[in-house]
Amino acid sequence: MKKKKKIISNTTIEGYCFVLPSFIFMLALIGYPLIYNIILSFKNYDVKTFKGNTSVFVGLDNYATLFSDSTFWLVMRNTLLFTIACLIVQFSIGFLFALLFHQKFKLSGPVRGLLLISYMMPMSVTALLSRNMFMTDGGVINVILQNFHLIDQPIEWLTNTKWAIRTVIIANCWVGIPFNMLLLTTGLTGISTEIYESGKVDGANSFQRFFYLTLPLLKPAIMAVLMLGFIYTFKAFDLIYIMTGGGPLNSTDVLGTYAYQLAFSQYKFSMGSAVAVVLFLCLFVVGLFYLKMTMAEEVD
Amino acid sequence: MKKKILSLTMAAVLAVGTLVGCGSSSSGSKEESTTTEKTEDLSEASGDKITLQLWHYFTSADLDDFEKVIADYNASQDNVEVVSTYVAREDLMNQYTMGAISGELPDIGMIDSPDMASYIQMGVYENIQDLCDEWGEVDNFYKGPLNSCTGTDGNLYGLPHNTNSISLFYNKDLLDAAGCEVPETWDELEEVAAKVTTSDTYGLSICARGDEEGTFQFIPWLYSAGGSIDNINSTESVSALTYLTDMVNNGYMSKEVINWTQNDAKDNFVAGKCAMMINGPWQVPEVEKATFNWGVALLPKDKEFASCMGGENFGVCAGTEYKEEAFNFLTYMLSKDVSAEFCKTAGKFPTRGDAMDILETSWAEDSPYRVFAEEMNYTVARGPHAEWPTISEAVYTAYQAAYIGDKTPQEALDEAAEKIASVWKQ
Repeated sequence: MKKKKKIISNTTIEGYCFVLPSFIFMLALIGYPLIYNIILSFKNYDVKTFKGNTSVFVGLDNYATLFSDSTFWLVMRNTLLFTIACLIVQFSIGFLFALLFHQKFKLSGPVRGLLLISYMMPMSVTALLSRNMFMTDGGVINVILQNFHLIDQPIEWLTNTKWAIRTVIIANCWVGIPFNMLLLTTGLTGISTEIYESGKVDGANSFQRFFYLTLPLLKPAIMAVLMLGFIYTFKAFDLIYIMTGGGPLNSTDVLGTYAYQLAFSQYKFSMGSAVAVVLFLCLFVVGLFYLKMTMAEEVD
Repeated sequence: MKKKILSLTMAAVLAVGTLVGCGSSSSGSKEESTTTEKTEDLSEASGDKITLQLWHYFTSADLDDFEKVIADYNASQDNVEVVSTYVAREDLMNQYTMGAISGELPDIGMIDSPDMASYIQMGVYENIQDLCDEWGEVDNFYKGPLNSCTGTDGNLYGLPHNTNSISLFYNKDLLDAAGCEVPETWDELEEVAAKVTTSDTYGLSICARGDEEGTFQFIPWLYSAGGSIDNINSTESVSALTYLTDMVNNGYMSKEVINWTQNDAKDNFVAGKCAMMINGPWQVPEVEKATFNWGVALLPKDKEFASCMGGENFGVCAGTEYKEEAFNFLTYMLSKDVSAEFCKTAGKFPTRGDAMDILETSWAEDSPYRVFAEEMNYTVARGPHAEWPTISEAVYTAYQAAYIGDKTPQEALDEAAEKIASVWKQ
């Protein structure tokens, strides 16, 4: 008994040694900027206090300014709308595609590969392409819709405050669908065909097989996809920055682009940091939830 | 408990990707600066030459002309080697900000004139007043551009490199076909725009993006109507925004202008999709590629002629070891002849009168540059004010709200006035 305990502690130390380099790496490259950013958000760091770093701590002043600013709440609303809408659309369509391509039919492999192109394309390229395609006058999308007489007037995809957020959601889903499909397909291939066979023998029809076999068995993969999707979408930056720059009138500004704007266009560094901290806290809670869930799964 | 701590840290790591995402450009700057350090080491090892790092954002057409100035300077003497690095305009501004914190600034840095006041305040540039006094040629520079290099203490922190203004480009063929004369007043402009607008062609194109470029293009209208930044919700200011909003609402100007850069406006003009556009002299070489006849005229006026002053400045960056050498290069680059030669090929205007005199003799009688030169007499400067970006944000938010019909011009400008007043108060 005593001997066994010693072995465990030895391997534990060894384990920590292996983790140490990456721990130091993360501490320096993630921990430091994170803490620096949090400190910054409690100071009055801007154009005037920048030189010689004469900024002082102002407590929660930045947060008070932020929370009393209607633009911030608009940005918060945009971020949530953007995230949830993207998540619903890309997950449901991605799931359908995953199920479709899980069926072994001719061309299922190549077509699935083709679908991945939009995921592999650099985000900036996707953003520039979408910006041109969604132009009100002469944009490819409006031209097609008008030629098929689906619309009379061109839709103001990116110049209307109501439409702009929908347009960036569409563009983001174009990238998100293959991502969801890929992860869910991996989950599907992990389910043994024997389970389905015994289900069939027991007389379950295809709906029952989907709801009582596929869904429960796929739950870990589904949760992972949703959580990762949430995190990636919530911190969106490049797509929106290039497509609309957050405009028109902040209607597509999300926390990421708003923080950038405050810090680097208006040089209100501390305000930008405060927005970034809000962004961090939101994701921290989601991340916590995700880990709690995966750990519970592992225990099971 | 242990598990809890572990999960806490892991959640933090997951979430922190966001903040690291924001910082990705800073890691880029680090890489860049290490390479510059390397080149510095190399050149120092290979000889006694001093290497001066210079950051700029000249693109395409101007780049070759600018590189030529540097190559000529490097060939002209043996002590100093100027190495230029191109950084895209917006990235460059971020690099200065981060460079000022980390102390990794170049020796010489280019900057857009309305941003200079902010960066002087942030300590990015060295005070070069004494060196300028010694040089003794500062009096030859125009007042307006020079003002944008002056800090709140009245000292010079840089020198203006080139200046420009915006005027009206028109498609002669389209105007002739519609039987129109070149407009000189706002009423005429609206009339012509109405006549030349068809299902494929807009009357006018401008840049009305939500950024500095858009503000630059809005200011002429504001001042021509008798308005100003200080009185941005006066009757005159509101009439300017109302005029432009009507242009959009009547369909003479595409609503898409709120997403257009000045380059986009130019592309649409060259493609024949807009009969007229507001743009600067730097577009002339590009517009010359157009397949139709075109011309340039003064920006049509309401009460008085007005345009906005643009241009770039160069300064010696804070913390450089070679302040005098860096300044020396500036005096070469901005000497009468070099400046005139560069501006001639790059389609820009020099910032000193004696260089302008040389340049003018090289223009043909009907050169479009003559119009821009005349327009320079009516230019309004932006700022200089350390918080200009905040003022600019108030301005572009206002006109965007009006163009897309979110607010009336009066409401939009009232809001802008409030924001600008809070800047003055500070």
